Amino acid sequence: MNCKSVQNRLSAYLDRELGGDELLQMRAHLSMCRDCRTEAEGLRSLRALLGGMAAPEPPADFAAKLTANVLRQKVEEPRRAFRASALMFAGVTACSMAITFAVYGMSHHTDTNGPNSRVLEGNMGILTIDDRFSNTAPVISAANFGPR
Amino acid sequence: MLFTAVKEKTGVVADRGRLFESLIQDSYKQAYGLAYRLTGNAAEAEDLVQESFVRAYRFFHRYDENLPFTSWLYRIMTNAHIDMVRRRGRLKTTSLENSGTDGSSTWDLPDADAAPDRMMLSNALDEPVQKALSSMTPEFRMAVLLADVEGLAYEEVADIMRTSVGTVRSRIHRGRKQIRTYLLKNAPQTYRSFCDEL
Ligand SMILES: [Zn+2]
Repeated sequence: MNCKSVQNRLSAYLDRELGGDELLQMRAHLSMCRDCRTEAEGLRSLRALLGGMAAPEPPADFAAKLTANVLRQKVEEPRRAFRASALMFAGVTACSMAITFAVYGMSHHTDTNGPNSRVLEGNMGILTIDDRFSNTAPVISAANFGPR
Repeated sequence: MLFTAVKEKTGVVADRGRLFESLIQDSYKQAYGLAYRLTGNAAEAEDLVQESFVRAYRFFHRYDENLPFTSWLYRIMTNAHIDMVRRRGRLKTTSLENSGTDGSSTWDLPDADAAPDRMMLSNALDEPVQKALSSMTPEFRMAVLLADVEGLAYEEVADIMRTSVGTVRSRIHRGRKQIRTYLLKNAPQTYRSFCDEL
């Protein structure tokens, strides 16, 4: 290792973040090179300064103010959102079944959960794509209702 | 431990308020210390801590259970801080031209014979260190603070900042060198006295 690569690793060395060959080579170089030792001492001092600085203290009423302001916030509730989308899904499914029957009549078999149907999750909850009719375009049974 | 309590209660909205009271109680001082070093002043530190806890509270169901709570909070704080800096362009406290024409500065010791102890020197260097921090990019500032003030390992810093250990290593090293250069330029006597006291 030359001086440049040693000096680039000095912080990691001081922080005990080096191991293996890298560490051995660093030690070997530092034991021989005064310039790099001086550089290491300089960084060690700075590290000591930063680590020893007094922590800035918050004002006395900060905790109470902070707690009140945080707890006042509305929480995003994933469960309620899920219930809403489940309701939407039920409605959409009923709707799309009607459409499916209207378009294809009774001539097609009605195995709705066959091995070829796959379920996608999207912004609106769940979309089912039925590609039993894969020689035509897939039927997307929850149409593009609502915002994207 | 509180961390276990956090894990058990993740996603349970009804308990969130009570849980957060204890989480705030447990970590607000540490969070404030970091926020103060990041922003350089009390008003913005308070805003940043509040913004971070509010985001954590609202999106607690997204809490990554592989992280300790403070690490997750610091991740949120990193993003909030970077947003803030990018929005404003620079930090309020950034004013690097504090050196007088003769090379002396506002913060340097007026009298080298005073021979104060290490603590006093460290206190005298607080403001120049803060100015040096403010002159850095938020990514460098955060990396140095998490490693040197919070005492975290590089891997933890990388987790919080969502980057590689190699990037963290380079940010910390270059960040420290920037601070040292700044101190040698703006508070040379005080800084050299501090180094000699070690
Ligand atoms: Zn060398």
